Amino acid sequence: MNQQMFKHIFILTGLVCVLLACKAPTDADITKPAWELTQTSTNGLFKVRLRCQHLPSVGSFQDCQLELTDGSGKAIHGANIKLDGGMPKHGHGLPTAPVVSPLAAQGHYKIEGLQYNMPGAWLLGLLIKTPAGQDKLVFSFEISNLE
Amino acid sequence: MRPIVALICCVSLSFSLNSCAEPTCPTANPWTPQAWGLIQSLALDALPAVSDASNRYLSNPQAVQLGSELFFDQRLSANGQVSCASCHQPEKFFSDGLTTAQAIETGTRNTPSLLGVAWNQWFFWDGRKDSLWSQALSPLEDPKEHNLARTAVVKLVLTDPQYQQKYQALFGASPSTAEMAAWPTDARPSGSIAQIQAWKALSAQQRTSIDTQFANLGKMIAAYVASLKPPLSRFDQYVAALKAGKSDSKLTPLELEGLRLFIDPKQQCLNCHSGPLFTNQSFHSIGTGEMGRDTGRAAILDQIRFDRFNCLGEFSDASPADCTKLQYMQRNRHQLIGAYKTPSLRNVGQTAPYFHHGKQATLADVLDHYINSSEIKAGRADLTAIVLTEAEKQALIAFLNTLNIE
Repeated sequence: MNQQMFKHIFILTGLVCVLLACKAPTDADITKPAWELTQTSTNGLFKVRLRCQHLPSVGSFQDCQLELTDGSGKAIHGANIKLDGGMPKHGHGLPTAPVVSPLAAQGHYKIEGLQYNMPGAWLLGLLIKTPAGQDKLVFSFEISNLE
Repeated sequence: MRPIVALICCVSLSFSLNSCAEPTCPTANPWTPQAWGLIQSLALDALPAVSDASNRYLSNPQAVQLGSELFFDQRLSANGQVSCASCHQPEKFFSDGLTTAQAIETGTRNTPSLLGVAWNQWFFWDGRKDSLWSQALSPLEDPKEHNLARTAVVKLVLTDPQYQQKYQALFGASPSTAEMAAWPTDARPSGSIAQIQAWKALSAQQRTSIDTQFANLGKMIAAYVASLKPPLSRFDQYVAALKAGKSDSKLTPLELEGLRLFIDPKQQCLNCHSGPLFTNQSFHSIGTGEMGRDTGRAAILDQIRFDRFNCLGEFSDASPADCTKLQYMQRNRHQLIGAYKTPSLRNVGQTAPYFHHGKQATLADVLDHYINSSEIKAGRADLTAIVLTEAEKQALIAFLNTLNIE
């Protein structure tokens, strides 16, 4: 391999790295979440950490991820996770139909299409299915109308 | 204490400026930081620039001009007497003042004002369209509105020498006269059996060509409508003055009391009527749906997804990544029964009657609905009944009227 070819490979590798770094923000790990909640599922099968880039707010799509582990803290990959939610005091659900899908990192999942349309008390429910079993949990939180 | 502080300010200013006209006198902000934050979020200067990735002509001045001409053209109707402006009348703030729209026939929904409508995320009361240009196409073919077949609309515009020239300047070459001559005049994908048969007799290529021109007409009309921005109201002037530290005398004490009530969580107004257009762009049941007759958003969920002219369709200028609201729209019918889009409250005092069916004649009637509705009291709505004294009602109405165009 001559020096010129080595230089080309080096540049190409650098370019690929730059392109990978520019992926959609939802695929990047949220390293410094502005807001997070952790909860154990109803029957104790799973522990879920909900991490969001920003405080929950009305109107815009939320940039959030989930981290799923079992009772011993081991990351669980390949789970089927359904997400729904709503405002119990108002009797309505989410304005959108969010989707949860796995990320490359073990036990990490991204949430796409999550939106809130009112300030106040919200619930987010997860139904988690894995070969080992299924369980559910509900996050409960408040959205301020000033965030 | 506050009047004394204001007086001291005035006196000190009068010393430095040699006069103190009230409007320029610095005034202490009477609101708590939280309330002031909410009030500022409602002001028109918080409105972002208008945008629609699915319409690359939205802000094109030539498209605005041609769209304006199409908007007022009565030839675009079966009887030659109906234009977009028949219901969206400029002198009535681009609405019509009627209970429900009246064009070729009487419609079933109240005509909304178009001032600021381009900032909406969904269009029509049930949001069955996801863009302004796609919305603009529906009335042209609707039997109760313009009732003109798709081929007739496209032929009429593209064979008009003036339109043709402007159209070609914008979109490049249009179908030739010979090509258009081969199209039947009365063909459309929905309508009478004869009209549908005529549409299906066209080749796929012909149908796509017609739909392409049809979509372009919608994009031009949308460009014109997007130019209809909501003007500043007295409320906006009040916020601007207070931000600048000037006198807050733009609103009367009664109007200010109404504003206080409006942002008070107890009244629930701000739950839905938030942001600079006073709408959360969402769909809610307020107890006005009619089971079996008009179930609002629940009835049209599939229609949006399979609409040929939606954001993900071949006539959209958007990339799929720009169509997230369509991609993740709520599809649960049960959740959306009787739900309608939260309307903007800008200029609300001048655009009566109210609600999707136009059955509430005055703002007082609207408030009475929220206080007395049996549907709301029975828990079949997205809010609980509100409680207001007669004086509070008057204050709220006074505030709502500060959102009017002067």
